[in-house]
Amino acid sequence: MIMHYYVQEMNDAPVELWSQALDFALARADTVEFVVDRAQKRWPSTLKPFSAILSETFSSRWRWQARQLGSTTFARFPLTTEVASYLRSLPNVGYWLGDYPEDPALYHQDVAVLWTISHERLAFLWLTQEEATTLNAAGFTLSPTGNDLSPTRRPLTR
Amino acid sequence: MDRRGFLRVTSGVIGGMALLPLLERSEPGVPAVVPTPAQAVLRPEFTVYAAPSGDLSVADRAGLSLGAITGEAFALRARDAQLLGGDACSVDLPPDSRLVGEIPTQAQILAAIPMPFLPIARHALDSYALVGTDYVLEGLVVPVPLSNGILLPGDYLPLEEQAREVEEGISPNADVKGKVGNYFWRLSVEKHFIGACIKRDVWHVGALVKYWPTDRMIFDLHIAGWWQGSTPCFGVYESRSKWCRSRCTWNVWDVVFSLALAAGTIYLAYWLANALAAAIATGTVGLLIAIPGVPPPP
Repeated sequence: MIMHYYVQEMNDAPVELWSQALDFALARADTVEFVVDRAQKRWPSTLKPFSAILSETFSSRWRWQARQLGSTTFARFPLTTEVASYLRSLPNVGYWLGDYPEDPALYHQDVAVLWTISHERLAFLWLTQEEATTLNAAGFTLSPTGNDLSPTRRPLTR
Repeated sequence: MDRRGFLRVTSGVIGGMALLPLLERSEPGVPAVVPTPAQAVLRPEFTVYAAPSGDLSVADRAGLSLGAITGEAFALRARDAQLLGGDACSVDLPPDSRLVGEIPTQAQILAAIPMPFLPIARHALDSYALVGTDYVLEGLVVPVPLSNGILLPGDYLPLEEQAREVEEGISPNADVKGKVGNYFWRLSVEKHFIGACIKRDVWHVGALVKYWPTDRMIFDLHIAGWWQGSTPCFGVYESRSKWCRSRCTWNVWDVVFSLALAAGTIYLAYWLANALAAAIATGTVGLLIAIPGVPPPP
């Protein structure tokens, strides 16, 4: 089963596509990852209620499938009902900024099944070609990115 | 063994083994601190227990002691202690004592380290240099209770305070962003996928202003450059208007035009952010409605 990352540009997409993408990925995921906004020098206020179940934090210069100039701090949580509700609480991926952590991502056994660039309103799904075709028939406009690298890498596992 | 070689050994093996070279620096006869973890936090390959005396002991995931480290023998760079959310902490463990850079004073370190991690500051210090690169060893620092085996919640700084400390110990951001009222702005130099007519992972300069309550983009401009074979390419994409141009050429005027556009856009974003801040501060934000694309204030 060959899988690739497919990108969905949410700029002009119907708003329900984000919730559909979430539903698709939530069913496969076991872990949620957020980017903690370092520029604000504090944790996003809406993320604090989940600090008790924080399972992992790490910093890496590897973000968005590339090595960046600066490092980013990532926080991972087990996918609980509460975390899933938190993910569904915003109507589109572009809202994940400011008081919310950026770039929500869903992982299954360390593979990102959904990752995002929230300031660009881009969502990336890990799919087979058949799955992409099915989703496109349902209204998505997914196209392969040609880059199947992991969106981030923990420093010690490089 | 150089630094890179040392850390390469640690990858993919039992994390505790990474500390073996460091343990050679431990003073003989120093008993391992018997730790009483205040909180059980799963994940890392090892846990560092910081005792009030300033000694550190290291245990594997099962709690088995891997040894103890004393302040003098172990040059732990406190500024490299990357204090994260919860009680997690990434600590850069230098394999040698040939330290580089500026050495902060003890007072500076004490002022920068949250209370539970103060014992770390009693160790030899150095400036941070490599935290945030590939060569960071991750673990946990669990403070040993000061007395009676009880660690009160008040012994910890609030989560956001710990996170704040993270910022001072790792590499700089390549973006600047902020929120002025309900407006979010961001300037950046970064590499990621850009859609529209560019459709590639590419380094670019980005300038974005959006109205957060409605997720409405005011503008979101990208100026990207890449090589196609031996020909330089430039792309400009503004996602709000969907205006996108990309061209591969050696024509110097195209290059100059792209760079000028990039500089002008960044200045515009900077000006707009300042204008919004000033308008909100003076209560005259309504005047900004005259700016095309800026939505009315809430």
